[in-house]
Amino acid sequence: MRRIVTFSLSFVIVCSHARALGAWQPPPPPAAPVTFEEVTPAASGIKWVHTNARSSERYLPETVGAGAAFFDYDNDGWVDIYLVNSGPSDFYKPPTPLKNALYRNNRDGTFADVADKAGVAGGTFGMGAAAGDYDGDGWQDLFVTSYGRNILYRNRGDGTFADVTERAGITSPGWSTCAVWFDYDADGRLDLFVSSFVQYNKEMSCGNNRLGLKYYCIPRVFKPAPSQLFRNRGDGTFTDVSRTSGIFNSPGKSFGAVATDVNNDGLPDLFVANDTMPNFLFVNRGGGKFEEVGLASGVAYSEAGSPRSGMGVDAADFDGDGWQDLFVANIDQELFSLYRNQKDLTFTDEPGEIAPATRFLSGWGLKFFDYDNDGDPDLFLANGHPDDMVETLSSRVKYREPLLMFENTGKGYRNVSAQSGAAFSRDYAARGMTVGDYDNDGDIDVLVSNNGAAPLLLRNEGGSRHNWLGLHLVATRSSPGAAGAVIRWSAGGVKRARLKTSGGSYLASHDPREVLGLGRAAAVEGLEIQWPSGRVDRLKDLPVNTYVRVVEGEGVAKPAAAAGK
Amino acid sequence: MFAYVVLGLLLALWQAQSPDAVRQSEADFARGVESQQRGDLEGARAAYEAALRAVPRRFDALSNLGVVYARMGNYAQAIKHYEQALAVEPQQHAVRLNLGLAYYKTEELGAAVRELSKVLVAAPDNQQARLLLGLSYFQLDKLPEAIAELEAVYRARPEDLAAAYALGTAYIGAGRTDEAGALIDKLFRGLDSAEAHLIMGSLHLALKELPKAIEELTAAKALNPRLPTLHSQLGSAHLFSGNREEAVKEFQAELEINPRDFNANARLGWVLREDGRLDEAAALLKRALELKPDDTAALYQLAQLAQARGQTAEAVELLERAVARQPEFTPAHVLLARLYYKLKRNADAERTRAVIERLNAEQQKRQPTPETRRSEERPRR
Repeated sequence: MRRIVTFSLSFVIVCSHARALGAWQPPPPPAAPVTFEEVTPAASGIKWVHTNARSSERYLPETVGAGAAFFDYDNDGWVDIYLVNSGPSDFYKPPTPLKNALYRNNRDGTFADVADKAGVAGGTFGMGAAAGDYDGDGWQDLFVTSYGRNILYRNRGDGTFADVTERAGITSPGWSTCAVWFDYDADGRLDLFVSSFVQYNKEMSCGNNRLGLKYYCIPRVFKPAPSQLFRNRGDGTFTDVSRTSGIFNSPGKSFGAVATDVNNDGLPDLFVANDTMPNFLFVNRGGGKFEEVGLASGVAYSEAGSPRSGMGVDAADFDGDGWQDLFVANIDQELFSLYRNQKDLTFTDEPGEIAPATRFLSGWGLKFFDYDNDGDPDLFLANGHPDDMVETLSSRVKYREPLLMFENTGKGYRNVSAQSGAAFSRDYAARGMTVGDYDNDGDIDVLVSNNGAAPLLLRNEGGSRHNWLGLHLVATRSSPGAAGAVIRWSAGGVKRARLKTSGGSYLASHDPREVLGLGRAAAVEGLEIQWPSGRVDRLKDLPVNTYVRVVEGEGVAKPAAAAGK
Repeated sequence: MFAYVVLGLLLALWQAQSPDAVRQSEADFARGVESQQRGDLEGARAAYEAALRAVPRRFDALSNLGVVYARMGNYAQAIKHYEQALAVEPQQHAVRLNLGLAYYKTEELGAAVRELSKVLVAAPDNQQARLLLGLSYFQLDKLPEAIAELEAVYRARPEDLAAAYALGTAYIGAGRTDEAGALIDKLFRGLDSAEAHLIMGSLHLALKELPKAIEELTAAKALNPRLPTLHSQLGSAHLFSGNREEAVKEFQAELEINPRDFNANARLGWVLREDGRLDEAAALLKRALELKPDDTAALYQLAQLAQARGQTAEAVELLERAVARQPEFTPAHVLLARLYYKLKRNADAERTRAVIERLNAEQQKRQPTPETRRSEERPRR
């Protein structure tokens, strides 16, 4: 029998400041390493290929895209895949129409493209995608960012979507990159943050007159643009609160963004990577206001005080101390940063083994997730240099670069790429990267979108050798998706916690479910969900190696799709 | 008044040498010249000093003794004797040129500029003095002044590869890579000398064409591994390519040949600091700062070193010096602001933050527009 205990709000507020957990004890490693196996287009049915529109003029948007999303558009319990393509723009006229792809999960390891039927084929020079149920009808909607017009697709719930961009009032001309659905004002509705990249001018070209070559411009030459924050009014429309919230006051050259809670005050903050500019840490001060504290917190600049080329970001409590840490990937030789939270709104950069491994790499998509289900967040990095001619300038920096996998050892990160599968020995022009359990086997798979190439679907093999519990959180008072929820569980005598972030990686959106790694423990001794609304649900007698739907205030509902071991 | 008259008479009597003394001095001077021509510097020095003991204000002996000391590498003594010679005959511009050269050699560059400028007032066509003046300005990082002088030399002596080399190097230092490229392509491309490869490598390094820079500098090294700045530049090319191991080797090689190379000291110190070898880094960075006491990059590196050692107050002091000398040095302001925040000096931190934001905005305004674009931008970050 499953039981649920609901606590009062006042109790929850006390709890929110007491997240320290018991001593961490790593479980014994599985007998064989966890690997990621490439699922070929022939096997998956994913035949779509990204077109990057590369020209001799080297227009910058060509090299930046594109993104991808794992999301369950048809609510069948199996995540589907959305892939973003280039399209018409002021510098590019596709010789044949280009389309985004929506691959419906056939539940047998294969996918079928239903983008045209669903009405989500795009038609803009697409960048990224963010899935979220903005209207709270139980169906995930889709926001597609572009160089040019962004698109909000409302999921009708019948396998089709409607373009409601204008009606919703979230038109944002210019160049948008990453988008994050999150509930910044805790009203139970999903608001939308949209990263703005530069004020691009296609007339600006960069290159070398002596050699007669054009290169992709460094974004430094373009003016920054303010990102946007849209408040969900609850009637299908949004209000642009960029100015009143303070977001507008910090124009940037923004790529990756993640919503998390860096100061444990229960309000979602935003960490935003900027290219050739200091990164932003927007701390949510409540009352609809954000304060940008990147400089004071130590995450804006490199250790040497220089702005870097920030691209992908993510957040997780990698050291299990109850505070969200941050990660940002930069361009080659700038080093990537793993920022450990010092619990006083400052961070120290402690990349450890990640620094030497990434010295010559440029990072885009990246994600903290528990690839081996031992309970702690590991780290996947997808890389590639933006300049396709970089090899003429450096013998060590390549255009196509390897993927990297880092395992959390409890003391830091260990590079396990060499043991993680053949895909890690190949090079890619990787950009977006999304994570999700597409085969519902309880371990997290990866999809990497490559610039000007086919996406790479990587099936996790071996992660589910450890026990796990999958959660599909269904909010009733909190915002859909329950971003900001804190999940605490104990298994095998080990207590763990995870804050459900929103966004993260680059141009990507992820499986909204959470898979809790149990290690070798055969049972979950206790599960507590602190919802963003303040409600706390405590559950016991939970199954393992399956997904469960947990409804806010109601407990476990009927089982969702489950494969079991 | 009477006292002054007496003093004047006494001086006149003292200056009037006896004939024997003059004869002895002449003989010693002749012996000095002969020794000098034979290459016997020690013998020449002894003979000239003997000549001067007999007649202390002999211009020719003072001047020649200065030259001998300079040949012996004793520039302090050379300067002393040149100055004594010029006190006797201030219009001897050849000696003043030697004095300027001695100051240049001892890196007393302000004094070198002063003396060489005087030479050029009297002899504007003296291209040797102008070349040396240009080089002095270059060493002082006064690149517009250096380029003005070196361009004048190049115009007067277009066949002079040394002048062209210096001008090309100054263009590179000033970031005028188009002009450097044109000059260097014209005069040096295809020449198989160490100097030609070095300047080609320097140009590629300035353009961040690192593989080509390494190729040229390695070719220079094969021809003459003792060429000053060669290892330092090759080290920099390796460093910017990310090959820190090779960079360290090259910087160390430069310092064996040329311990006063600023870049080798500063950059090796930087690498060793980043590698956590703080004591070794400190010695190098302090030497770099001795070589260029006003160099803000050295101050900034030393500040980071102090920060790594937990010496926050020292780091703040070094950074405050750096930004006082170079108010537009944004990374130093950033580190300073962070330390102010850490020290809870919030007013200072906020003031510094405002400076950073202003500098960032100014830097953005300086970016080229499509109209001003000359397409020199390289894609590297």
